[in-house]
Amino acid sequence: MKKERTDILIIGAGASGAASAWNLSELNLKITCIEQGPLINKKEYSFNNKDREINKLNKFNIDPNQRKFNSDYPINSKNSPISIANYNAVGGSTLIYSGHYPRFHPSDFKTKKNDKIGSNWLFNYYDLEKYYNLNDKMVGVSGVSGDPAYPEISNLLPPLDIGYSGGLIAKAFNKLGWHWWPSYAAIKKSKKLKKGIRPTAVEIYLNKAEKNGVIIKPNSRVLKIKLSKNKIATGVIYSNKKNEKKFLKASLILLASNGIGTPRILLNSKNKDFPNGLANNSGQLGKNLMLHPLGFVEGQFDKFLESNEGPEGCSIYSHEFYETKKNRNFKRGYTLQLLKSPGPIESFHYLKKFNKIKFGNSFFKSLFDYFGRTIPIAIICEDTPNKNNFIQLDHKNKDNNGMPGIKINYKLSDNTKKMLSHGINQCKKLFRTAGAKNIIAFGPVKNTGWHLVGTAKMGTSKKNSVVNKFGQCHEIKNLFIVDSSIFPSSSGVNIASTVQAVSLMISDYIKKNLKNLIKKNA
Amino acid sequence: MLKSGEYSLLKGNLKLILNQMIPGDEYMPSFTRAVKIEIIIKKYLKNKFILSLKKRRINLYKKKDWDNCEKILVNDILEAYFTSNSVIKALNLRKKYYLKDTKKENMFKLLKKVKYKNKIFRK
Repeated sequence: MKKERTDILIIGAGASGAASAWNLSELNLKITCIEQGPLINKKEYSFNNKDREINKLNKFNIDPNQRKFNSDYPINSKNSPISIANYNAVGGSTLIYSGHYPRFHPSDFKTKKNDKIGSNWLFNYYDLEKYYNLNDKMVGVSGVSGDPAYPEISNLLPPLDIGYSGGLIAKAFNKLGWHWWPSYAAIKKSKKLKKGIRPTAVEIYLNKAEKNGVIIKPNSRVLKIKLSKNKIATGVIYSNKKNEKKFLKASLILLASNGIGTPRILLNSKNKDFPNGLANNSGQLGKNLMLHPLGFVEGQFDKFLESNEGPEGCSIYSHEFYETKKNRNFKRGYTLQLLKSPGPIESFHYLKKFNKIKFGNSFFKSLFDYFGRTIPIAIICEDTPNKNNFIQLDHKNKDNNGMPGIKINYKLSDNTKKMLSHGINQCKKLFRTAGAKNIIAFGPVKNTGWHLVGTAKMGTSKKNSVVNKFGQCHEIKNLFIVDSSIFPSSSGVNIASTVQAVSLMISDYIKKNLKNLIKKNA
Repeated sequence: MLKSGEYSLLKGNLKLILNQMIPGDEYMPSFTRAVKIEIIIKKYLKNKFILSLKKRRINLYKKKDWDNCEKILVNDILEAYFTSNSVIKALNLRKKYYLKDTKKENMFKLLKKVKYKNKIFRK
């Protein structure tokens, strides 16, 4: 097997891997960021690409089991009401995300202390605040300061236009006396580009990291992490595009492959010291999987609202029902996000599914009764950790390198079901107030397993957790996890902002303690 | 390679059915006014059903003919139609007409009416 060498190896070039790659790139060390997916031309995934609607149905489809690219691996979600959505490429899921960048609430970091549910983090919002600020600056987050739902967030870029649909729903929020605010978006306004400019992890961090000397290695899938007799990670076995197996020696390894990919690599790396998976003598690896069960409510209106136009993602959001309230029958809460309605092609497929459109004389009437006249709202429910929600290797379904796929075992808790039901009822009330003529609602929506959290949780003891507060594996000192696997709670918001802030914090810790980390493990 | 007679019949058949499937309205062009039929023909020269249309006139009242065309062509005709410049232009004109009497709300004025003036999150 051919051997190569690097000082620091980052496994995964998505949101968290990219942030660490950039932060560590100021060091005078050889840093490699290895990624199982390809490097894709920016024009292909741009929001403004004319073929974007069609691309969302095929080459940028969110479902890995539909795509079946070489960079994908089988994910069996038959035992889950929610199936996993991801994208494996340089930039990861940020190539197709909606660029929604809210922060966690301070209470998200101590749900057990505040609400006697879930688990507490080992640091809080205020410890992470400077990294949130740094990440917002790097990303270019737009929004409006003064949001009553958060500690002060400043230095935001000008907010996006909320459009006719945003204005209509904002008025309804005001009538009901509910909180709403323009969303925090990684989308910059542009006079030329109608959908705005939405940077991905590539533009935000990886290009800069590369300029500083970081080597990006696409089309290279890590199969196993190898350990020495002294339980020090020595490097990885990976398979390249030609399916050749190689060994890449590394002094320090950071796992950044998300809440499914990271435990997958660790479970596949089991050895005699770690028979249940690397760094897994606690038995917690792969467990406590948290997703964001999502409800969908759509209001249809009599008038054209141009609701499909403008920057994608969320234009306004509400945290009226985010924090625990005694008079509700559930703990924690959810976010309401106003989304864009689909373009004409997606609208056609949606209507066709319910037999509400056919080709012929009625084609345009059916299409335009829907297109641009509907407003969708997503209800993002906070999930809580449960050891019975877990991932495992699926040896019956392997990827094209022979590495086992993943099987998801997941059920909604009673708390979540009540939360979802509450959210749907509140949205219906909102749409009635706004004057919708028809309202449809359902949840949990199947293909929405974007936010993959909790499968390598942080804790103080190696008996019941995988990593410490700095993402360092308790049992393997030169192995770090910098992605959302280590989160003890999921919050009720999109995780990109927190994923990157945590990655920056951990990589700062690594920078400050580098001599100890590399010297001990040389 | 098709003989010129066969090609003409195939082209005529496809024009007929595609303009029936997407007939156009006061704003929107019919399919063949927006998309060159040759693009569709080129893509489907190896399809058995489509090729059969070079030898016979299509019958729009025959359910099988209509269903086959829809099943085979749906994704490509939608993509070709809605990404064509003339349809994008038509959608924009349509949008301007339907929004001409709609008032756009001022976001900052709406924000002033948000009930909560103090912070509502838990520390």
